[in-house]
Amino acid sequence: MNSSGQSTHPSLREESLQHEDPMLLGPWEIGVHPPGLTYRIPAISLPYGSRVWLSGDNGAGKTVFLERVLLPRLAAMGRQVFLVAQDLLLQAHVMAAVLASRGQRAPRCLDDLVMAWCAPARPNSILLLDEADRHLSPRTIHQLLELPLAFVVAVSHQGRPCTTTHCFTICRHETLVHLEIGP
Amino acid sequence: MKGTAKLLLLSSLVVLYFGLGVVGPWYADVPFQGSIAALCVLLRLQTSGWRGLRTDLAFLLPFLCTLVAMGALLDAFAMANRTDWTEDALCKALVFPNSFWSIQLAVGALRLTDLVALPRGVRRFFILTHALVSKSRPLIERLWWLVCHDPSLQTGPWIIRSGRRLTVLLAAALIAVYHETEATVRVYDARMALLEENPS
Amino acid sequence: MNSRILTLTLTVVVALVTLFVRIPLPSRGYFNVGDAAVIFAGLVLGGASPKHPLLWGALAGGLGSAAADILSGFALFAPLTLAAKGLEGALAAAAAKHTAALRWIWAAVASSAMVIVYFVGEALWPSIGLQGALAELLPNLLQAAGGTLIGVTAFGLVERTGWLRDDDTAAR
Repeated sequence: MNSSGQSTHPSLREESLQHEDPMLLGPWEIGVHPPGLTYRIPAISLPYGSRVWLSGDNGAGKTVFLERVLLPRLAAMGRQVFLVAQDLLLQAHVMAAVLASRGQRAPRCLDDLVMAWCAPARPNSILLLDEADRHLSPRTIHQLLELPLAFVVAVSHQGRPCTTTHCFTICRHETLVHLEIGP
Repeated sequence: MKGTAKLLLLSSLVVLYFGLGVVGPWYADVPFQGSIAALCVLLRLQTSGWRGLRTDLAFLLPFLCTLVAMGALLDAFAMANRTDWTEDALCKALVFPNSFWSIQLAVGALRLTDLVALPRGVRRFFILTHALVSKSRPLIERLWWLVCHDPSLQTGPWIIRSGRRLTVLLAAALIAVYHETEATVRVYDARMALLEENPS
Repeated sequence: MNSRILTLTLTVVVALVTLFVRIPLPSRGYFNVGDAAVIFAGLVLGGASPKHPLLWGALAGGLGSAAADILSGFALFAPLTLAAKGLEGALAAAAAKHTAALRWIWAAVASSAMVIVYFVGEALWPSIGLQGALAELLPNLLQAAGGTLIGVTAFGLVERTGWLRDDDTAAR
């Protein structure tokens, strides 16, 4: 499966896009224990600069997909992955400490904190947003999607963010989880 | 059984085991330690089921394996001119789970109502600490996961990376657990005030 | 900042971090990263508690580490741990208000005091003795050095977040 014909993110500079690799995923069949789910991911090639909206029912396994399937595989490919987790209020403490270790004082506002934490991201970095719109303002979500990064994958229940270029849906049938194109 | 009697019985059983099996004459008595281990496993199965036992083993086994491996290593180098390190390690590998289970079973058998007889301050400390440890354990595990996957803490040699991660974990854990403590203390005080108003 | 709540928080943090990484030692003890938490707890309480910081530091370090011993099957060590880590926590609390360089020295003194208390306690212990105490000396020294390094650095991070000075920062 090749998700072709999708537009590249407009805010990215043309010269950096030309020599950046696409993100190749799958085909994978991965068991995740616990919670005892098997993920069947088809072969997917996403062009550099893709902004992906990932949807699915509650309990379909989107967070497990991001944290236990996608993140470790992207990290193993040598990618720098920034995950804004669903429990962002807890992660904020880690972000504040990380900023302190970089010699910065953590901003009070959660939106500014996340932006400051993401600041060292490089053009080949990947950002995963797991329902970040529950805690962050639409403006910050827009800014995060606009960052000059290789790929951004956003899970959201509040509809497709307008700047996304691709849509995937996580579908679960008992313990088998599929990744399908389109909402 | 009344709270005070239960507290006394449980503490006596634990003290008895430690007196005989850990510091006492039956430390290296394999049949005794084996029987205690079997009894603990049965009780653990009864109270927490297979899931509880699996969690315990996941906690114990890595430690026991390291313990035995270290014993063998020290034997190989004849450390301190001794050749009984493996034997000693195997003995500890039996005593350690027993000590662990005896405490876990005793703590697990205690209910909130059993602590009523304790002095007010001690009771408050025990209840709050017990609640906080069980609430904060998953919190710290989750923080550790987030720290380990933070892209800013992925570089450098293993020892430096681990050290940096631990510093971030400590700082993040302090702030996260402090909020949890504040909330737990608030709930505890509110419940106690309610109980004092309506003792029935 | 409420000193009692902060002490309870740090007691729990010390206990849980001590249980986190454990490597058995030749005698009857185990290597852990709890010392980092004890030094950290002492420094935080020393920096934040206006009254009796040494007492709070001793309580958090001693009780947290002793609780970890009890919960992890080393209950026998709990009294010795209470004394050793309590002293370490109290001395670390005394380090908090000093300048950066002096803070490192104080923290190193606190860790060394822990090593000395363990060494004397184990040497006098009938089933461990001098030989066992000597075998644990090097791992304990390494634990103390690592604990000082991590604990003081972690305290620096908390200071930089501004959390100790301003509760609102943490109450995001």
